[in-house]
Amino acid sequence: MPVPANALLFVSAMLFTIGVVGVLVRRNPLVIFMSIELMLNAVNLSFMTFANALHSVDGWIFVFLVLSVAAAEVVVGLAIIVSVFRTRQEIDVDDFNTMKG
Amino acid sequence: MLTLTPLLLVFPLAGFVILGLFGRLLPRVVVSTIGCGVIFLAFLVALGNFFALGSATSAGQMVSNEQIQWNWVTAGGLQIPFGLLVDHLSAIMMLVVTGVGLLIHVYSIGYMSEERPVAFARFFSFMNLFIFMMSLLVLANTFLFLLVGWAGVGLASFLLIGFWYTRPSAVAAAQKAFVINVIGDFGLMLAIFLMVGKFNTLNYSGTIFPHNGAAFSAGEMTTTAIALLLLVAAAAKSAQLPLHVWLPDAMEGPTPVSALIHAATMVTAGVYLVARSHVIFENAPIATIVLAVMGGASAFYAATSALFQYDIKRVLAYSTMSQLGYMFMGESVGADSAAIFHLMTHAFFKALLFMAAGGVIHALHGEQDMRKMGGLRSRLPITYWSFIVGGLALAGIIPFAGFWSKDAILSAILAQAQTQQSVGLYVLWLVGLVTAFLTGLYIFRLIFTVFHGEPRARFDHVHEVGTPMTAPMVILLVLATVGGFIGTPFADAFSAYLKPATTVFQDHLGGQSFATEIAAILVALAVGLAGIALAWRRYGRQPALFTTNTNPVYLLLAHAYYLDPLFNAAIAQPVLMLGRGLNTVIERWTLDGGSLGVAHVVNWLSRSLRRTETGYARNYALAIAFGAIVIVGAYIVAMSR
Repeated sequence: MPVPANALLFVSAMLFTIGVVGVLVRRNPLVIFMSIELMLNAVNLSFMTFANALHSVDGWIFVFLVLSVAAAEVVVGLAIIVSVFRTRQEIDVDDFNTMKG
Repeated sequence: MLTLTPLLLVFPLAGFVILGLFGRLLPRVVVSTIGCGVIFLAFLVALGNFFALGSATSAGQMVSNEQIQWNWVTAGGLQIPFGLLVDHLSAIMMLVVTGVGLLIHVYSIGYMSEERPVAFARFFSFMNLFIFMMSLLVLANTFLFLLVGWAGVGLASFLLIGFWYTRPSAVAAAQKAFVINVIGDFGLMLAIFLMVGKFNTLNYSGTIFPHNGAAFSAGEMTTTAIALLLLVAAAAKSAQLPLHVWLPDAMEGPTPVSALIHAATMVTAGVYLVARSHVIFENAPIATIVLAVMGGASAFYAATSALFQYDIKRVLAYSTMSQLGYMFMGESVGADSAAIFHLMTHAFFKALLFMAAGGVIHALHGEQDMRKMGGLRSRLPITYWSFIVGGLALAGIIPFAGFWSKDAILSAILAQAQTQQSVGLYVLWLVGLVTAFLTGLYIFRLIFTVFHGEPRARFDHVHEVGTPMTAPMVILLVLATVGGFIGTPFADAFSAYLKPATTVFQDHLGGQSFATEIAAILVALAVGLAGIALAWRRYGRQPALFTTNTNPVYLLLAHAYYLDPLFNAAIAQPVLMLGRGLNTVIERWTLDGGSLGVAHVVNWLSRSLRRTETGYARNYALAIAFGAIVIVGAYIVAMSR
């Protein structure tokens, strides 16, 4: 039995909101990263839902794109986090405020 | 011969360019050869022109030679060519300019010999520039190029007065001369605009030449305005009241400059201008009266101011102004040829006096204060005799050059006074006589103080100057002695030569009896001799003691009637205050205030906006989320409508 599109979109919206709140409230950069991944995948889910509903391949292609960009982003982000941890011995994002005006 | 006229301009210009660009690389002897050589060549051309024109006129062939070189301006109906005009007036002027100029160039070789090589070359290039500009002024056939030369000689005189530019006083004097000369340039420019409006041409042939002279209607407003504006120009250039203040200060320049510019040539440009445009003045009676008053007042003012000067060159400067006043007096009664005659003899004897003064200054290592001189007669014999001859010529003693020319002017004034029964002209004649008396007094006061009596201060190695300086002095000494004989009342070759070009005072006697003229001559001679006698009584017999004097008349004259401080307080300071006020209100408050105000506002805004840059990543994320919500909300609202 196919899952109705509305349910899938609802799940997608819930996942996205959880991700946003996670980004905003957590201070550990690793958790923030995971929240971002959650948001990206929520968007992927809605892409797939619309692709199926509209019988179009465009949504699939966007998903591939988002996945690859997300992978690259994680690589760069983790490298930054590691290097910051090595110099500062802590990883609280609120302490990284040397770039303020 | 007349086809060579352009060379009169080309030679000095070439000298200026060569010495100005490469002078510093050339050895001193080459610099002086080029500097004097170009003027010598120009002098030969001027001499050739003079005789060629004279013989062509006596053969009845032509009275002037106008050479149009090319069209300079073509604007609608207005055409201004660049051309050269050789007539009897400009031929004589060029002879004076290049002839006396040549002697002064040669003199400069000796006088400037202690300058550094670079300064030596600079001096000669400026002198050549001056001769070029003066030739342009005299030879131009339109008022436009007259103005170019007019402003150019002002520039050259600025450069030469400020030649010793490390002296603050020389720089100040150069600026003063330049500013006042520009006032004159401005007057000439306005006169030119009026002439363009009236005639739609600036050629002499279309404006002031006698066969077109009817174009100036007598007594009309425009004619009077043009004449008065030309007078402003002439007064500034020829140092007449009230624009004379630059001339005494201009003595800050090297002495050859004083001789060339401030005695022989540049200051006579005003006399030349009035003589050249005499048609205008004949049709402007008001301007002629102003001219007479200006000339008479300047002659008297300068002669009295010269009485108690102690700087040897300032005495000569005031004397120059006084003699120029004579020339303008002569022109005011229509005796243009007498004025030009006096211009020529004055160039001889005043250049001689300045050279002799330079000799004294050179011998005394730069001392110019007469109170420290004295008893130099035996040690500087050539200079002494130059001074005696120059002084006698200046005072108008027979048979020296100045006697004949001054007599020509004075008898012309007297003749006009008798013809017109005019009290004003009798007064003018009396002013001339009083000035002649004062002239004898002040110049022989100088001679007796400097050369007679005992030395008042010690100077080592006082010696006569070298040949390059004495040779021009001897030549001028001869000219100042015999130069007047070409224009005696008995055989006036000078007026006869000049007749085609200017007004010649009718057969010299102006209808009066020969006896009257002889009487006038004798009176003038007597007052001149009386002046010299008074100078001998006061300064010659015993050494004058220059003690402090508090007599108010003495103080007034010694400070030249306090005109300098008066002009400073009445004109210069208010103008400066206006300038400072405008600087504060417009420059500082309005312009600077406006631009700085914008900068302050932007600065303040950016300082407040900078607060939002906290550096907390989560703040930025919150802002992005908030923005996204706003955008999505806006879409929803828009879609639901």
